[in-house]
Amino acid sequence: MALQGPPQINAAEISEKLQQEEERLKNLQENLNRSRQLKESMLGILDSFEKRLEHLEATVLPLYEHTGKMQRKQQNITKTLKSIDATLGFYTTAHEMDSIIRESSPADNLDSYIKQMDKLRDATKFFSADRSYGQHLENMKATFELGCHALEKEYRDLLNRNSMPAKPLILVECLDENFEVIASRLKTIDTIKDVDRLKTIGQWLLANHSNADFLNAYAEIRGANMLRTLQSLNETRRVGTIDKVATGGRPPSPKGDRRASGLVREAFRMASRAYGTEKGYLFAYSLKDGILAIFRSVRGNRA
Amino acid sequence: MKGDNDCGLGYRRAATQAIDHYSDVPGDKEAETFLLSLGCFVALLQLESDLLSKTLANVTYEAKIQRVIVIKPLKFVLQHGENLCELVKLAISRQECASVLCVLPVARYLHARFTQLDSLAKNADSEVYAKFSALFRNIDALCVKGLEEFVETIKSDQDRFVPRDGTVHQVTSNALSFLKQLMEQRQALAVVLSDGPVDPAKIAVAKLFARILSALGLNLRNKAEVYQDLTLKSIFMLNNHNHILKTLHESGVLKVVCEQNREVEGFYRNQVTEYVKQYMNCWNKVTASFVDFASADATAMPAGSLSDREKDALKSAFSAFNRELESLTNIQKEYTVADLELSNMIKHEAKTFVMPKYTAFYSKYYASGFSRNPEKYVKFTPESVGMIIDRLFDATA
Repeated sequence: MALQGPPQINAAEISEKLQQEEERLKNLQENLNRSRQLKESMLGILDSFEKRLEHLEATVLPLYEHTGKMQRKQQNITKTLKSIDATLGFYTTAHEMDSIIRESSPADNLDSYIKQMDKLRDATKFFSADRSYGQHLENMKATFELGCHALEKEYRDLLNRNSMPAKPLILVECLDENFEVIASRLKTIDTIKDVDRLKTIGQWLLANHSNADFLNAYAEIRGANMLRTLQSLNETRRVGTIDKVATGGRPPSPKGDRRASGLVREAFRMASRAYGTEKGYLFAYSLKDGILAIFRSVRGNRA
Repeated sequence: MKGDNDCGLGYRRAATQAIDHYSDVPGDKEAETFLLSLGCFVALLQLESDLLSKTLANVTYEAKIQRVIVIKPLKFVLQHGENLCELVKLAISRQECASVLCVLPVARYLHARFTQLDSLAKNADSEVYAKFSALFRNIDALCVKGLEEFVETIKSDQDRFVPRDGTVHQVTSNALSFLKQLMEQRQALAVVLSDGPVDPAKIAVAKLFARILSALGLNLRNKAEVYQDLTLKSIFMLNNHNHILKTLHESGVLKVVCEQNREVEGFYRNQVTEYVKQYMNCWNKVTASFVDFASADATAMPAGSLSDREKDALKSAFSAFNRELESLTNIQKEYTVADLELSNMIKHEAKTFVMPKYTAFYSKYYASGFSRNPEKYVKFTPESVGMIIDRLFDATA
C-alpha cells in the first residue's frame, strides 16, 4: 500500500468513541454507588453484632461466678464428709478396741494386739484435739492404759518364763586360764528364749508409754537370773564337779595335754548338746580324767 | 600325787604339789571360787548388756537398767571375796603364809579389771561400792602382809630340829617352793608390791626375793649351829646352799634377784666352795695318820732297808689310817648328799686330796718289808680307797 496522508478522522467515529467513553464513566459511577451502599449495610451489621456481644457478656459472667461458688461448696462438702467418715471410723475403732483390748491378751496374738494398740493410740490422739470428746477420750485413755498394763504384764511374764540361768559348767568354759572372758564362746550361751517378742513389747512400750516402770521389773528379773547363775556356779563348785571342768585345760599342764583336754571337752560339749541335759554332760565329763590318762600313757609310750 | 588327778588351777596345782605339808592351803578353793565367780560375773554382764542393746536399743535406759541388774549379783560375788579375805587373814595370823599364793591371782585379776569393776560398783549403789573398794584394798594389803609374815616366819623360826643326815632342810625346800610360786606369779606380785611403796615393780620383786633369801640364810646359819659335828654341819650347809643355788637357777629367781644385786650368785658359789673346804678337814685326820711318812717321792723302798723302830711306826701308821678311814666312812654313811653333781664334786675333792698322798705312801712302803705279811696291816689299796670314797653318801651302798 502506498503512503497515505494524515488519517482522516470523521466525526461519526469521534462521536461514537465519545459515546463509548461516556458509557464507561456511567458504569463506573454506578459501581461506586453500589459499593457505597454495600459499605453502609456492612457497618449496620457490625454495629448490631457488637451490640449483641455486649449483651451476651452481660448475661454469662454472673453465671460463671455462680458456678465457681458452687464448686467450692462441693469440695467443702466432700472434705467434711471425709472427716466425718474418719471420726466415725475412730468412734467405731474405739469401741472395737475397747472390747478387743479388754477381752484379748497380748500373749495370744502379740502382733495384732500391738496393731490394735497402735490404732487406739491414733484415735486418742485424734480425739484429744477437741475438748468436746472429753468423756469419750477418758474412756479410751483408760483402755489404752489397760492395754499397756497387759503388755507390761506380758513383758514380765515373758522375762520370768524365758529367763534361764546359764549352765555353770558351760559358763566356766568361757573363761580362759586368767579367768578372762573368751568372747567367741560366750556367744553360744543363752540366758533367755524368744528375744524377738521381748524386743517387740519392750520397744513398743518405750516408744508409746510414758511410764518406764516395766524396766524395773526387767532389771529385777534379769538381776535375779544372774544371781541364780552365780549361786548355782558356787553350788556346783561346793559339790566339787566344776573344779575339774574349770581347770581341765589350764597350765601348767603340758601343751599337748591341754590340747587333748580341749578336744575331749569339746566332744563332751557336743555330747551334752545331743543329750540336751547337764546331767549328760556331767556324766560324760566324769570320764574325762580316764581318757586323758589314756592319752598321756599313749604319749608316754611313744616317747 | 594329789595335783595330778585334781587338775587344780595353775597356782593351785603348784601350791599343793610343791609345798606338800601345806597340802590344804586355806583359801585355795575359796580364791578359785571367787575368781570363777568374778569371771563368770563379767561374762554374764556381757550377756546382759548384749541382750539389753538387742531388745531395747535405747542407750540411756540400757545404762540405767544395767546399774540395777548388777547390784545383787555383784554383792553376792563380793561376799565371796570377803569370805576369802577373812579366811586368808586367819591363815596368815596362824602363819600359814602359803595362802598368799592363792590371793595373788585375785589381786592380779582385780588390778587388771579395776576400771571396769570400779565404775560398775560405783554406779550400782553405795553399799556395793564400799564393799568393792574395801575388798580391793584388803586383797592388796593381805598379800603384802602375808609376804611380810612369810619373811618374818623364816627369820624368826625357833625350831631346833636339824636333819641327822645333813640333807636339805624342810625350811629350805619350803622357802624355795614358795619363791618358785612367787616367781610364777611375779606379775601379780609386781602389781601388789608396786602399789604400796615407791619402788618400781621390778625392783620391789627383786627386793622381796632377796629378803626371803637372806632370811633363809640367817635361819640356816642358826640351824647349823645345832650340829655338834663340824663335818656334818658343813655337809648340811653344802646341801642347803647348793640346793638353793640350783633352784634359784632353774626357777629364774636368780635372774630376777641379780638384776637388783649381782653378787647373789657369787655369794652362793663362795658358800659352796667354803663349805667344801670345811668338809675336807675331816680328811685331814685320815691323812694325818701317815703324815710322818708323807713324801712326794713314791719310789718303792727296797726291802730290808728299814730299822725296827721304823717298821713299828709304819705298822701303826697303816693301822691308824685303816681306823680313821673306817670310822670316817662309818660316820658318813649316815650323811646324805642327794644332789649327784654336788656329791661327785665332794668326792672328787676328797680323792684329789687323799689319793695322791696315800698312793705315794702305799707304793713306797707296801713292799718295804716293814712286816712279814703286810696284808695284816694294809687293808686298803689306793684303788679301794677310791672306791670307798666313791661310795660315800650313797644310801644304797
